[in-house]
Amino acid sequence: MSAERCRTLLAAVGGGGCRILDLLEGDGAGGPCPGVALHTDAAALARLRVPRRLVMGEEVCGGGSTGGDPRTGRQAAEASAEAIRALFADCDLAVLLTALGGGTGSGAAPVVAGLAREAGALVLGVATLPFFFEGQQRRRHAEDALRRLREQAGAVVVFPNQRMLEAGGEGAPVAQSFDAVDRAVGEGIAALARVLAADGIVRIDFNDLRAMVAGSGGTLALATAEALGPDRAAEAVARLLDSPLLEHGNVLASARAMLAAVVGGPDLTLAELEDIMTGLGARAHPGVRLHFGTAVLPAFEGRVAVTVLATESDRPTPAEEPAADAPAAADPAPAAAKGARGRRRTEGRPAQGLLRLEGAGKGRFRDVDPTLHEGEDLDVPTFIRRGLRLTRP
Amino acid sequence: MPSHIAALEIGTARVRALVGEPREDGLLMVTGRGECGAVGVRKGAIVDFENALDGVRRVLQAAEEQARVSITQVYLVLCGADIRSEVNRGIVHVLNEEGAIRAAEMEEARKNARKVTLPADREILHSIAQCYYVDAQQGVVNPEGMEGRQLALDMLIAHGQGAVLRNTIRVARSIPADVEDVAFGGLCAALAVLTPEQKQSGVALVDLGAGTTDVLVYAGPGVALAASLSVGGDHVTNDIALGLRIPTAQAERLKREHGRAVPRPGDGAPAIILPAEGGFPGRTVLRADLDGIVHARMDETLGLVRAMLAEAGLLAQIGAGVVLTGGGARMTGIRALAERTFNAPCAIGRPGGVGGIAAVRDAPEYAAAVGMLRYAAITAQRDGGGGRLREWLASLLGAVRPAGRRGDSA
Repeated sequence: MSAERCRTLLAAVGGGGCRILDLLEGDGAGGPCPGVALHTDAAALARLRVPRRLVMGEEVCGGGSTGGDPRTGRQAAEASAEAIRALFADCDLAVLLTALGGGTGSGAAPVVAGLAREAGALVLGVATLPFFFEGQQRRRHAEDALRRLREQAGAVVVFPNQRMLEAGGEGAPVAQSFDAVDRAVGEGIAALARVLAADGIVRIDFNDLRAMVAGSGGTLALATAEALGPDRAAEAVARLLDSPLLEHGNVLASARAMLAAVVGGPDLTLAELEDIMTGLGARAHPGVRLHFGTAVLPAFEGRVAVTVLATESDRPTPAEEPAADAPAAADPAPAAAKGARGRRRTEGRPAQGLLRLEGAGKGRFRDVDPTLHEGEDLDVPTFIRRGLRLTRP
Repeated sequence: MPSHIAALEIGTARVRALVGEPREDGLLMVTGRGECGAVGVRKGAIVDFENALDGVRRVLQAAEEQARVSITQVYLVLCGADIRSEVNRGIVHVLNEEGAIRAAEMEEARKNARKVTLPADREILHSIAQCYYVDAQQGVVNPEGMEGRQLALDMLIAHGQGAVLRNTIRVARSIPADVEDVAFGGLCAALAVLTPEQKQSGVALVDLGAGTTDVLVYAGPGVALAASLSVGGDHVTNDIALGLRIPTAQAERLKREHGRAVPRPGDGAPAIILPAEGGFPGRTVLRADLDGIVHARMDETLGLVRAMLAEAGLLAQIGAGVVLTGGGARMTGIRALAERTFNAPCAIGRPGGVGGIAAVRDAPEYAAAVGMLRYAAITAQRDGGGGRLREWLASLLGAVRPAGRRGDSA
C-alpha cells in the first residue's frame, strides 16, 4: 500500500468543523481532498458549499441542533452509525475535523472516530478547543470529548486556544479570533493533504504518517507557513518557527518525531530545500525522527510553503514549568479577581498540562523518557499498538 | 590484586553482587552472593539515587558476609543507556624504512580506529578490535612483522548515553567502593554462557532483562554488534497490568507463573484465578487475554532484535543461532518463539564453569554478573593485575580517585 496514493477523507463533525471545511471548499477548486460534512442540524448543513453532507440522527434531533448537549450528539452519531461507517469504506486516512465544546462536535466526533477506525482507516483527529471566554461548561465538554476522541483516534492535532489568541493578537475582536483559528486549521489541513496527495519528488507516504501517529503519544502540533520572493525559503522557515502553533519553535525543540513537507512551484531549487531543512534542523531535537517530503505543484510558482507536523512532548516546555503556574495554583482567588485577561493567562497553561497527562496509557513508564523506535513509543503496550482485541471489556 | 573479585549489577528488577575467585584451571568459584529487588531503576537507568544506593549497600554487605571478605573494589555491569555500536576503520600508512608493521603502527591503527565522532551526550564504553587489513589482505589477526604499505584495523565501538552510565558508576562510587572497571551487560553475559565454538560459528546472545534487552553478536572476525534495547520484562508486566487492569504485583506474578511467549489454545484452564490479597479484591482473568498480551510484547521485542541484526547484515552469519539469557529466558515458549523469529536454532544460556554457590550456576539471570567476574579475571590477567581505570572512565568521572590507590596501578 505504501506505493499507492493515500486515500484521504476529510470529515467535518459539528458546526465548527463544518465551518472550516467550508472555508477549505471555497478556497480552491473543491478543496484539497474529498470532504464530507456531518451535522445534526440539517439547516446548517444546507448553508454549506460542501457537496457531500450527512445529517446525523434525524430521529434523535429531528434535523435540529443538539442544544449544546454532547450526550445528544453522541446518540445522534450512534443512530446513524451505518451511514457513517459507509462513508469511510475504501479510505486509508480519515482526517476528522471538529471544534470541541459544543454538542455535536464533542458528542459525535469520538463516535465517528471509532466508526472510521472500525472501517479500517487511520484516524487523525484535528480539534480546536473553545476559548476561555466561552465558559467553563464548554471547556469541560471539550476536555471530556478530547479524552474520548483520543481513545478512538490514532492521534489528535490540537489547536489550543491560548496559542490561537497569540496568532490573532491579544486585542483582536472575537469574530476575528474565531476566523484566525479557522484559517490556521484550514491552512494546516490543506497543506497536509496536498503533500499526501501530491506525487512528490521526495514522497511522504501514508506509512510515514502512520508511524508518526503511532509514536506520538496522542498529541500532535501542525503548522504551515508560506513565503514569496527571492528569500522565500528563509522567510518561510522564519515564519514557521515564529508560529504560536509551534510555541515559537519550542514544540520542535522537544518533538521526538516530525514530518516536514515543502511544497513549491517548478522553480523550487535544491538549495532552497536544503536551506529549509537546515533551518528546521537547527531548531529540532537532535534525536528527532524526521520524515521529509517535497512536492512540486504548478500553482505554487514563485512561492514556497513549509508544513510541519510534530509530536508534542509530554514534558512541559520551559514556558509551562511549574514556576509559570505557581502563582495561579497557590492563590487562585486574586487571579480570578483580575478579570478575563488575567484568567486567560494564568489558566491557559494548566488546561494544556491537564490534557497532556491523559495521553498516557503507559502505566509505570508514564514518568520516564519514552523508548522510541521508528516513531513508535514502545512503552505503550504492544497489544494496544497492534490493535489486539481482548475479551475482557 | 586481591584473590577475590566483586561484580556488581544494578539491574532494573534486581541488584546483584557476586564475589568470586578465578582458579588456575579456569573454574570460577563463586563464594559470595547478595541480591535484592531494585528500587529506583527504570529501563536500566537510575531514577532514584538514594534508593538505588540503599539496595547496592545491602547486596554488597550480604555478599561480603557470605564470602567473608571485605569489598573495596567492584567491577560494574552496565546495561541500558541505549547502548549501540558501530564498526570504525583506522588506517595507518607504514612509513618506516623496512616497510614492516611494528607495534607502533598497530597502536596507531588502534588509536585511529577509536576516533569516532559521537553526539556530545554519548560516551564510548568498549572498543573491541575485530581484524586487521594489510594492503589488500583481509582478516589478518596479528600483522606484527608483516610487510605492507597500509595497515587498517576494524574496531567495534560500543557507546551509550553518558549521563546514564555516569549515574550508575556514581552509585557504586558512593558506597564507597572503587569502580575498577565497567563492562556492557551483554558482553558480560556472552562471556559467561557462550562457548568458543559458538563464537566461532557466529552467534547472537540476547539477554532478556527486566528493563532492557541487551544484544551481543559474534560473527566473522569477532564481536560484530553490541546493542541495548530499552524494552524488557517490565514492559510485559506493565502490558499485563494495563490490559487486564490488575496491580503491577499481581501482573508480575501472573507473568512468572502463567506467561507464555507462544499462545497454545486449549492447553491449560481457560481462566486463571487471581486470589484476593492486600487491597486487591481478587479476579479471574482469561488465559487467552494473557497469552495475547504476552505474545504481542515478546514477539515485538524479538522482532526488534531481529531487525537490528538484519540491518547490520548479520542474520545469515549466526550459524550457532541464538542464545537467550536473563530472567526472560525462563518464560515458557520463549525458545520456540525465538526459533521462529530468527529461523535459527535457539538455546537457553546458563553460566557454566562455575563452582561454589549452586544457585548461581545454571541460572540465566546470573549470566551478566558471572560474566563480569570472568571479564575481570581476563582483564586483570592481561594488564598484569593491579587496579586499572581506563582512560575514558577517568575522563568520565574527573580526577576524583584517591591518589594513593592510583599509585597502585602505575
